[in-house]
Amino acid sequence: MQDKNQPFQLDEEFVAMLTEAQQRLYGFILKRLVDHDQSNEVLQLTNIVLCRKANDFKKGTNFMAWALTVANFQILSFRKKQSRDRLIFSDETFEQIVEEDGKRSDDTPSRLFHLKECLKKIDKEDSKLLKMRYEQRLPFKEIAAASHKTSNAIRIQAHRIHNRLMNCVEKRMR
Amino acid sequence: MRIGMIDWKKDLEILMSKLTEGKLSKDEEKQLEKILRSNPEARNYYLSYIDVDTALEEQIGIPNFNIMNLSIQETSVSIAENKSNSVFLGYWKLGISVAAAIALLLYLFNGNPNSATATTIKSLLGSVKIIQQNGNELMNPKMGTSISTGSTIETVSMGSFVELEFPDQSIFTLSDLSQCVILRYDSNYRELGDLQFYHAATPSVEDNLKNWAEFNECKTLTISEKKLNLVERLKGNETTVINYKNDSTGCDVELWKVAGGIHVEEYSSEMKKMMIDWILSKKKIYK
Repeated sequence: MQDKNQPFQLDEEFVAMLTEAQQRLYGFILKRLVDHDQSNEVLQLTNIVLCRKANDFKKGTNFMAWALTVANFQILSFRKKQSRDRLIFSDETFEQIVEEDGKRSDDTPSRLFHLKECLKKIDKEDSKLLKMRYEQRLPFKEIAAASHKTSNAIRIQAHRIHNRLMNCVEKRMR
Repeated sequence: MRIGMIDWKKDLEILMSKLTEGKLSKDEEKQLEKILRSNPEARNYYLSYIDVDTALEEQIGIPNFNIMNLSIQETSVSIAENKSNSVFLGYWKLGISVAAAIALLLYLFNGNPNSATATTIKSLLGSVKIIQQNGNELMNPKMGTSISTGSTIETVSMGSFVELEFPDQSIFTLSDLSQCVILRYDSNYRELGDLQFYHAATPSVEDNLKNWAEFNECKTLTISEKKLNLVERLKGNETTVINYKNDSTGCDVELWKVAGGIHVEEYSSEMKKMMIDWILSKKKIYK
């Protein structure tokens, strides 16, 4: 573990792995906390711990598994410190989510692979919506304005795409 | 039973859409908890939904540095602070260094392109071929070259890289072996090939800095021209430091602006150290 008062000594490979892991770490935390601000906070704390413990990480081992373990501890610690009314999930629901997500975590790389394949089947108009939503990060309201549709119509279209992708991924994974 | 299942799914679909947008109300949070607590199928849907959303972010999205920006928001200075806060310096360090790197990477300055121009080359690395609408090749494209509507732009080698700036100062990047056609531009849309981009009102880096400064009540602006030497290929001090400060609150917000910088830059070996030293010299304010 690095000295808290010293600057981090991070090699490029570590920084690349940490950067690549950000989205998955965020998704992992968001599932457990639901709230975006809380999830950002825990992700930041997770990043600090990962940087501080960079020397403990053994090259060639599974970085993501290690990062998720750290994130898990940070989530538990965060939940402990929060007052009950700030937490969205009760202990019971939280444990259920953790348990069920635990069964799925190993599948993530293949989920990503199948999603790539499923995305190839998306038509042009849907693909345009996904780009606006995920690449340009536009809210539905602005996508609606750009597409000359109502926000609700865009929301429904996004839903349909999401459901289609979910079904496609699940089907391919069976 | 069947009706019940349809009901939760309908409700959950609406909730998930709002959740991913970050727009769940307190009541909706409670409703979500209630649906998930009682229903394993709903939990499975919830997890799958976020998995797909995260995967789409990974596949389509550009890395989201809002998380890092948040660090800056919380970052400001307190003179008296106990040692236990030092852990936050790390958090900051990563946050600000990435945010500063992004600012440096994204910040490019140039004159305003004239209104008749669809787009202008903001930066260029390697070779690029531009065929105008009349079929003629635009010779010697370089930084600042104006490109008209209907032109086709093609990066012709691996490692080539071109940044196009539109009149609203938004940037489009083309790299390696790729091609696009500038179909049209107006104040609300730009159309590149089969892609349309809606222009959201995104503040410039400098406006963003100003917003942070105002948010943190940093009132004193200092601009130090050519103060730092960050880029290997540019001789001398090419980087201007724009700083907003408030000594009474300890707040300190800063932008390092590279004159002549391009999107992907080779920074000097001193750069990281300078950035870290700057960050470590700050402390966190608790409000």
